[in-house]
Amino acid sequence: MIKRKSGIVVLGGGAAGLAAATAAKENGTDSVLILERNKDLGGILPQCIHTGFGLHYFKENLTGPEYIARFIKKVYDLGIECKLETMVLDLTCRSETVAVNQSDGLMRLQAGAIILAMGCREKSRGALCIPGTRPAGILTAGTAQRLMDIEGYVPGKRVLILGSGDVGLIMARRFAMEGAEVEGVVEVMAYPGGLDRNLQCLSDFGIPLYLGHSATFIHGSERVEAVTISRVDDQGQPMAGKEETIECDTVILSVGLIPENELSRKAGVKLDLKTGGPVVDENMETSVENIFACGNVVHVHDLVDHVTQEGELSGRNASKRVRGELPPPKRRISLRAEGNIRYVVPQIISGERPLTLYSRVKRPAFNAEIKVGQNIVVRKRVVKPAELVDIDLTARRLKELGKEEDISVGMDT
Amino acid sequence: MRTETREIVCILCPVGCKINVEIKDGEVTRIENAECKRGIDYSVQEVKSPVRDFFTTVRVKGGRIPLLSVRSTKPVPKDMLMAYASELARIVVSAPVRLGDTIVENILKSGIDIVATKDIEKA
Amino acid sequence: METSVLIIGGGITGTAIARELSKYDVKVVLIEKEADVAFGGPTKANTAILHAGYDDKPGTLAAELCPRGNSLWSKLASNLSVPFKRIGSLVAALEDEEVPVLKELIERGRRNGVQGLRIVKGEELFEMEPNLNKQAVAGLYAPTAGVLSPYEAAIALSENAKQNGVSILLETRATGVILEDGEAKAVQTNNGTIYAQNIVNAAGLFADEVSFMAGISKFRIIPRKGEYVIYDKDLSGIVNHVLFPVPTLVSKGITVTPTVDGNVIAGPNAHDMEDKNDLTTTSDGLEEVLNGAYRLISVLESRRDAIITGFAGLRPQPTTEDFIIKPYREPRGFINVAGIKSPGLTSAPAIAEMVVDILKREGLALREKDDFDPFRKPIFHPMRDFHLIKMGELTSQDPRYGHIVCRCEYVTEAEIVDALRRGATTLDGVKYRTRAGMGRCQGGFCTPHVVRIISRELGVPIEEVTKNGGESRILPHPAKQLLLGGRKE
Repeated sequence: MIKRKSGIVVLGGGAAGLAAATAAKENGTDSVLILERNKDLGGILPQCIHTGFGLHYFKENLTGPEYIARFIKKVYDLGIECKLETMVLDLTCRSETVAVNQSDGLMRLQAGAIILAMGCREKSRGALCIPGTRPAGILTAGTAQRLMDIEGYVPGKRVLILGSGDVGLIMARRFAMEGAEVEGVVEVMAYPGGLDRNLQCLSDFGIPLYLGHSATFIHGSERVEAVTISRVDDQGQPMAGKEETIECDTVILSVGLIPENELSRKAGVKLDLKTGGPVVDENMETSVENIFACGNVVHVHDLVDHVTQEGELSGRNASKRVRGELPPPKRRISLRAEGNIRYVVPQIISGERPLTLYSRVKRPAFNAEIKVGQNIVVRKRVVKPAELVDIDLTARRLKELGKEEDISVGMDT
Repeated sequence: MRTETREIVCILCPVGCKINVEIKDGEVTRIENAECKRGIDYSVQEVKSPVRDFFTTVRVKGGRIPLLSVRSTKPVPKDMLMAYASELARIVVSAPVRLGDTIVENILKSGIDIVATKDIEKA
Repeated sequence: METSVLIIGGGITGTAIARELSKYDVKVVLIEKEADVAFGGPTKANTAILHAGYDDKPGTLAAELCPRGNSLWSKLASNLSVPFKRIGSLVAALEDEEVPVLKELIERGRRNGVQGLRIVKGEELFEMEPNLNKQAVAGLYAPTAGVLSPYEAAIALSENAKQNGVSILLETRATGVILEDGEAKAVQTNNGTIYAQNIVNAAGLFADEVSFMAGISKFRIIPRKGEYVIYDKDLSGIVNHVLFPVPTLVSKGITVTPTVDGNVIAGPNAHDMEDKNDLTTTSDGLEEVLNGAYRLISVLESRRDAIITGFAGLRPQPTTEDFIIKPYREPRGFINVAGIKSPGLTSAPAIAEMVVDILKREGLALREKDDFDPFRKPIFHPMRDFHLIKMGELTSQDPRYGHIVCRCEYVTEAEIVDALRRGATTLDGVKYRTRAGMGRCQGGFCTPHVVRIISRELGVPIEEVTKNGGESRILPHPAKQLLLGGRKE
């Protein structure tokens, strides 16, 4: 078995991993290694052929592939080593990984620091236990996107989409533009799950949006033939007599993303049940020393621009750590999300340095007041579940923080 | 005199103003509920000549992957989206392709080019 | 086509009989109506338990064959390289009134020849099952019970049978039986007529219909649906034995069981259906299964997030209340092996022996082969146990062992190719042989890759690859075909 040591090993070559690796290298760590399971770098971006990327980071309106190409180029220009089609099988709390690929076989890699950038996976029909048959033609949106925009196959010609999050809305448009009939998008909440600008995906193509509905039965023996949907009450329960059966041959699910933390668990990294990802401090370090994390593995982001920033932050800090320049913070203040705040990242701050917190709300609100601790109030014009809410803890605000070790970040419902 | 009111959700910033536009004989006569000038301009454009970013895929021969992602160099008229998509469905490009390569110049005489948004090496 | 023995049905029963017969110098053909063995229904969708044998009424065939089959599985699973764990079972009495039932079961078990049965209580009970409902007062412990993968077992049996000369014809369905002079002479199928001296009907859910083709209509098969829920391997260890509630007249009850692969399975409920093809899961069924599971292991109630999938199976419930394994005077040459519901999986090897005995008594000359090979080479899954493997050699022999395709279950390209070379032709066929697609992401990541490998290895276009045969094509439209077909203006 091959055994090697590196300065920093980055698990994942998507937007987060590339940002982290390039930042670490630019910050002086020469030995940086990216491990990526796909045959190409880029993560999910190469299949996101739509625009809307880079509005903040580059102040340009780019497609996914164009955005990530800039970071892939940086990786090669900086001479960062990448192992592709390489699967990480194990991670220990001492920053050792076991990985495998076809040319190297099994490898044991020791690192000074690890950066977790594994992204997330999609919730399946099975996980939702949607009743009915189990025919061909049921796919998650990301898998459909890969098939349609990389592999060259349209999964079906009469499509029903479950979930009105961004990916579902974007796939509705892609299916329409590839010649399929999109019968509708079904959303259990009373309002759409994705960014407003993505609602155009539906209105532009006359695709009906069934708000306050859920799929109650999938029909079809060998291939999907129809889906029964039902109006739901305030608790999300189907209402009797309010069903409708929609003929289709394909069901696309965009019903939830789950940060992929199987490796994090193996290393004993503490996870936050609310985010599904590691508990991190303001350095993006996890509960295990020298293991940092960034991107969708920490919490599901809305814009890749934020992922890049988070990746760069973790890369810089991992780099400082291997040089001995990042001592653990003196104070550890735990942040506790309450009320309409679903979660806040990072979950642990020092109170010594200004930083921006990122959070998500459970329900939309106008003129929202977010309270951090007893004294800090941050006002937001509008907050929506589909968009990360940034909470700027400036130097001035940090002075109001108080001495507690446990501080609430909350918003009235 | 035909009067119509339409609600346009502005996409330019997170506020997402639901702008009410009154249209008489194809001309915008009243705009309500727009919080800023950009929103007003956007709603007028949406009524008179709505445009969209255009992006799709094009088949590739001899490349590492079989599809090339492409985009238009400028936003295109919304009602031409499917026409461009169908037009691009007819062609097959050969690898290698470089990000930025022009795949189709002046598509359907629109003055708009279609360019590659990724590199594709030969297989 | 002519054969000495024709077996109708490629489920666990048919394949077990085929493999048993393959020990003898006799021509055997097995026909299966689906695209693969084990695809039919009961075999791929059951609780995957090897029962100890105390449930069955003494004097019945099930009571005789279950303990015998149970003991035969050790050697058989080992020879066939089918994963098998003898983890034992516990029937939990959750209140004092249920304890007499445990005593009844022990008594029945002893009469059926089951070894090692005993009642456990108190500290010992909760040491065995720390997460068991705190109200449990006693448990019936059966050390001989176990878990096994039923579809892998049927696939392995069919491979070993083929190795030893049996012909297996897939997508071949019996449509009629030709009777002449009081003898069953041949079976008509969608692929022609097969003449057979002996016809063995192991057609599972449809055994009554096949029996009727031979003029025997003394029983019916009622499809009794059971729904299941599977939990993530994360919950492995939450239960240690096959855990039953006290049984009812209708079924053994909703169990919580570790699977042989490390998941946890809960189910089944029991409801009779009209339609033998109704494999639908229902929302009421889901709640019933979950509530049954929570009764035994209450911590599951807070772990709904760990459910990875659900499915339903149909038990081939006979109207005779016991297995039907018998020849007939009229017509001769026709043996029914029907109504093989629980404990069918456990009994399978013993049923096969019984059928061979019947054939001998019916006059079939059965001479043992000198060159019968009892061993089936397993599909090697190295990355499941990567801690134990020295991989250097393996990847230099076949680099595809280094290419992990199903990330959740660590299935490599080499195993998928092996599965295809052994006869898988569909996505599900690869899934049942390798577990690719059975993990927590349920094929979200690996499906495109597996489809590509199937296309490449079998030389079929991607758009023809199916989930499980027939019309179940997964990717029917190559890029741009819908647009070029003029669907949109």
